[in-house]
Amino acid sequence: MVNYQDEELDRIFGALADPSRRNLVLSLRSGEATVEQLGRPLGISTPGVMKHLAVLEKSGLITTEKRGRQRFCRLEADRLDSAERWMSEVRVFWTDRLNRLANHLEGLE
Amino acid sequence: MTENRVMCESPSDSALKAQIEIKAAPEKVFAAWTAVAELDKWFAPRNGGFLQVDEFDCVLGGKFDYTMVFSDGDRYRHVGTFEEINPPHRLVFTWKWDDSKTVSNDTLVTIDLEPTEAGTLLTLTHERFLTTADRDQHQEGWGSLILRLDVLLAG
Repeated sequence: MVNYQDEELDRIFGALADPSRRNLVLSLRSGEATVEQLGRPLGISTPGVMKHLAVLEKSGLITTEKRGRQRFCRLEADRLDSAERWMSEVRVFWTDRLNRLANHLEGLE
Repeated sequence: MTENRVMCESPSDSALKAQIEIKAAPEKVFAAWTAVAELDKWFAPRNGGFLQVDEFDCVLGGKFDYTMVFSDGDRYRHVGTFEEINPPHRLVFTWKWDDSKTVSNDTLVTIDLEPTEAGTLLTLTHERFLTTADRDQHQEGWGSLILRLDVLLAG
């Protein structure tokens, strides 16, 4: 019924399970940013940000790239789609089945 | 095209709730979930597909194992165990699916039936989508977060 990669989703949900990491993801929606730029408004030290970014990068939600002396982070919006698709497929599955159940029991099908 | 009468919501970070009112008595609705011959009539894929039932033991602790076989050859296998059978009010079973490419974790499905004037209000709750460790870490719904992000990203 649903085609998704279990481990991939575990990593995405695990990454989003932390409020600081969710804030980092939200900060990146307007475009790429450096580690320093990301940490400042959240009041998190650079090592703290690095730790969260590593989790996000492992999940595939962001990518980072070193340019000169700075590391830039970018949101990979496509990864969110797979999580959303998974939930919506389960929803579609049950919606379809329950409508058919009702039609069957009411003699409409 | 079938008219959609199902109301859906995500009450928590790891659950999905669907509701539909059916013009049939709770006993009939309950039987549709617990008798193979009945299940086959609404669970089987349409357009030439069929439901292949390898096991269906609707007793407490009994197992089920059935596969939706689609006309194009796709196969979705569902396996689980009946955890609560309380006719015609409540049915609880574990649920794991396997589409030959990927396998889900063990999830839990609860069917609650309430008599109404028109017939039966069916509430389906599908939960435990995530691993326990993930679920326990969650402070707020990821579903709403993802939707919010999606709106922001699209906008």
